[in-house]
Amino acid sequence: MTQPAAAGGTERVNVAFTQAVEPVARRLQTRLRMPNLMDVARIAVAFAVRQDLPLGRPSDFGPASNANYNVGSLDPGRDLRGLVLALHPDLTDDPYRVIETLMNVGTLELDRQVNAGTVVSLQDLLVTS
Amino acid sequence: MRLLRLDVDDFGPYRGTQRYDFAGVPGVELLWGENGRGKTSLLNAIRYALFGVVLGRASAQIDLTTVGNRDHGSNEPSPFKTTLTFEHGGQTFKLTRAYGVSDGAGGVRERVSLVRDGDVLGPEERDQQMARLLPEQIARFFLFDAELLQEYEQLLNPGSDAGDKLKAAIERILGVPVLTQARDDVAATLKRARTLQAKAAQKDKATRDLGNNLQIAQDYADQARNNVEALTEQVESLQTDVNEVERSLAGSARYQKLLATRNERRLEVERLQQRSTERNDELAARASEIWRAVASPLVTQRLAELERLDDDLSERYRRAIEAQQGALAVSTGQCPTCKQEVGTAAAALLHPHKPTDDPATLQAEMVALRSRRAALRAIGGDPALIARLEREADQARVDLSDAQGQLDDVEADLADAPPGTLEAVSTIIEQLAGYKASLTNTRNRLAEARADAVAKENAVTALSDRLHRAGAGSTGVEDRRVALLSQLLALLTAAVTDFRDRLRESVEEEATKIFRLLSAEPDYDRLRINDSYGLSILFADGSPVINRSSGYEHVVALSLTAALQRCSPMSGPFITDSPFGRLDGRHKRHVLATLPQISDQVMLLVHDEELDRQMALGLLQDGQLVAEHHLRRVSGRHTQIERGAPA
Repeated sequence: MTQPAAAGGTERVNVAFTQAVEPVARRLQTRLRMPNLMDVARIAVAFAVRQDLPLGRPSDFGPASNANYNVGSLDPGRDLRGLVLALHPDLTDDPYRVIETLMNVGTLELDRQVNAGTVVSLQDLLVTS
Repeated sequence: MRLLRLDVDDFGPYRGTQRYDFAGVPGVELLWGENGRGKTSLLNAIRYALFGVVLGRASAQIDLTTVGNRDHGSNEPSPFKTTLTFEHGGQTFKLTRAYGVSDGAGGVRERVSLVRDGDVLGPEERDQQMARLLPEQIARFFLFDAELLQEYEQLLNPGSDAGDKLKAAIERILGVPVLTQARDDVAATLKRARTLQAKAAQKDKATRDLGNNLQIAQDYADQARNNVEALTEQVESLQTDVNEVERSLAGSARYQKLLATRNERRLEVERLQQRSTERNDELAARASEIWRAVASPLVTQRLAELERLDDDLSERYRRAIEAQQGALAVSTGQCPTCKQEVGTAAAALLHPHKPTDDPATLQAEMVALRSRRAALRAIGGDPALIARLEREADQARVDLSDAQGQLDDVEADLADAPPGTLEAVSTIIEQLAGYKASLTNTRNRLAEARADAVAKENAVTALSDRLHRAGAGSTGVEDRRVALLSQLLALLTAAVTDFRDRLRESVEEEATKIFRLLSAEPDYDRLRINDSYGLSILFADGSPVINRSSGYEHVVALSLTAALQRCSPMSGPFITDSPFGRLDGRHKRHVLATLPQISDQVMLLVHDEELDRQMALGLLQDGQLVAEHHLRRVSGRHTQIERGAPA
């Protein structure tokens, strides 16, 4: 049981990929040559906020019960949490629940763009000038 | 020495008994023959007659069981014979060497005989006579093989194996050993004299200690000399091993090269694998931070927006505070800041400043906004760094893939080798590396041993001198003998050095004369000799020609050979196979015109592609072309020597 962060409730301590998204994330891990699946999760969150993907969960989201990460490991400096809250100051949901949503939907969107050839490497995710 | 006649019996392609009559007068003679007809075999027949060896590629000795004529179709070792007739010092010699005479046990053996003016010489006298007439070590300057030209370049690298051997051969033809042997003989006599000096001193009570010490020092010096001799033998033995292994590798040059290439490419793949791993590790080390770089554009954009909002809120807050203070002043008639009374006129001016925003609300908004700004600033992220790391990792991967592809190509080539070839070649290469390492190690030990021997010899000399100065009557005779021999040794040692210096000067002078006749490059001025008789070409300003061409390598080698013929106390024929191999037309003309100056007896083994006969006739006028022979094909295993130019 969690409470909205803004209300000062307890935030969740674990986040996970859904059963459908985890294999996609593993594929991206190989493609982007990331050492850990957690790195894909973080990139997916950043990509999702860059793409301004909705924070709410789609109806077919499914249970997030696969690869499970302690938020202390995923976000040791709580900077991901800070990013989400800074971009969405009116957020009333648990920020880590939102992060869980974004890492799953961000992974799917990133995979879609990889398959479409829009994203071939990390450099396509970066703006360097 | 002048060659008169060569008779061959079943030697190589020369089936049956055949004769080559050398011209009886000074000049150049030409032997024409297409490739494969037996020009090199004829040169080898002369070499075999003189020294009992037959050489193949890279100077490798050819197995004599394969030399006999095979026109009869048998693969059994065939007997053969050569008889070389020549004159020297007014005497006529007939040197016969026959191979394949049965030894009575079904084997083969060689028979040699030397007849001088009709008298058969005994084996010992025969060998001594031949060693005086034409030692094998200097044969290269008479029987000139253009394929060995690269050895002359080695003379420019003091310490190289080929260069050292060639230097020894050069000194031999120049007569240096006469002096060096005299010096060594005197050194040996001096050593014996010192032994007698020590023994004489030991008999006298006054000099006994010095005598004992001298004897001990002599023993140490002997041990050091023996050590030097043993190590010298080891070096020679190892050098022979290296040469033999290198020769055995010569036949598998292609696979040797492929194996070397494979090893290089394996190392390259390993290096690139390492680099790729490092680049991947660098990127992986940043992997947990990449999300920051991904978010960076949005974060930058939002930060700019927050800055603007903060500016706006700050301005609104300032105005709200001003309005609040104005309203308070109007309502209380006193300025809340300075506590002065606010008059009607001033109140009228303050009246329009009605508060529109609540400062406390604005302040709270500002706190929240700045908190968001701080959170966004904490994101950071360096997209340029991540992009660079990924580019480098990608490039390293591409380089590795290319190198792996090249390695695969070589592996595929090697896979075509006959079974066992690579293992055999690899084994020989390892063996060669082992020999070379041992050779280097033994050479180093030899250098140390030589230094040690010199030190020990110096100790002997010092003790011997002390005995001499002691002036005891018991050693007087021995002291004087030692003193005399020491002076003689010093004299001969200095004479060797002086003789060498003068020889080098003479060789340099003569070689330069010949070089100027041979060279077609006007800017090449002269030759300069080094301590090993290596010759460098110099420009007129004295600067050396760097990286001279292979053609000029040929010209320099011919210049040196001609100079050695001129400076040597020995004289003989100059017989050369493929004399023009690396030369262009202009240099061929120069060489041809100069050849009569090299030796009284010059024989060229050529084919018509190498030398234009009309050009030769034009250049060798006034009786300089003294004879022509040609080699006529009878069959692939049978060549006939015939007089005259080919039809």
